[in-house]
Amino acid sequence: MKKHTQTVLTILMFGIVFATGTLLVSVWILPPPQPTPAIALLNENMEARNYPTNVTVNTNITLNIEVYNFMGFVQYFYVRTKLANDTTMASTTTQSPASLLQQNERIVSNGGIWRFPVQLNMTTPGLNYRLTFELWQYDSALDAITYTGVWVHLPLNVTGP
Amino acid sequence: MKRQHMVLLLGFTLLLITLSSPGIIYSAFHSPFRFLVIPSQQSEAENAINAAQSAINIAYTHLVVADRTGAPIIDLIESLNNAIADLNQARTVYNNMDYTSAITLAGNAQYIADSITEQSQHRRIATLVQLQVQIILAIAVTAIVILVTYLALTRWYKYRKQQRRDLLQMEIRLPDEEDDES
Repeated sequence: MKKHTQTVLTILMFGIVFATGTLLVSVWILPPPQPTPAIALLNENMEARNYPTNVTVNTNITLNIEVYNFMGFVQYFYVRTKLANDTTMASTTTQSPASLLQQNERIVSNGGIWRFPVQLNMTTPGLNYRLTFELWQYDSALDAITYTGVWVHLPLNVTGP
Repeated sequence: MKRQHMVLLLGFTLLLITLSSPGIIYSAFHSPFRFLVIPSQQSEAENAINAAQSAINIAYTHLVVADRTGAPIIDLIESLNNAIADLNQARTVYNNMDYTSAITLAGNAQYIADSITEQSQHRRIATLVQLQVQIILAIAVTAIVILVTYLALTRWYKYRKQQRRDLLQMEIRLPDEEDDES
């Protein structure tokens, strides 16, 4: 066998080994990315700090919500705002049983972000409220809105005037 | 009471009713003094809202399929969000008992959603056809490349074989010539 043929064969073999290795690592060893949505709570200045945690009755609270679609395809999201407390908080498996204050909905493109402001007026005084924002999605297979298990909350104390 | 007074009172009452009836009719149907609502209109508004929501859900399902095919759907998403906004507004006016506006808004939302369903299907089919054409082209190009490579290699192999044969013949001939000279 001539020298240049040996060189070509060696390069070819290295190429095959490299390609096969990459394929094996990506398919079997690395875990596949989990499609998951995300929700973030921001204050009225679009910052993740200085939240209004102590307010007086009948004060308007302005917050901003950001929803990120990492599901891998276009999604029909719902954000349900609830006024919960320590005993009625949402979890990753169950929604909060607290009453619904408001609902926002939007279709978000793959990799897209949905930002919207939330304005609330707290009329009932109370301590240790949990202003909860639950992320729901429309499941076309079930033809129903299902809870994603993703939520965010703001601890809130509402005091009298 | 005299008969003349009775007639006058009746006439006055009739006049009062005649004059105030447009106001009563208007109040009956318009906020904030609405008290007369035709039940069929309420159920019609409710049906229109439900139909619009179903149309939006169907449009979304078609959008997902089109998106997975690789069809461009950004503008359709925006339009469907407008339909959702219309539907939400329809729900708000329905809660305020303005059923006529609710029917109009829900109808508009349904029209947009139905149009998006149709467009999603068209775009999905167009993308699939484009993909098929691309696959056929890729197969054709690959086949041509393989054919050309095969022909080139065959010719090269024949040429090398011929070269080696010529060389061999020359090598065989050379000693003979040397023998002749000696």
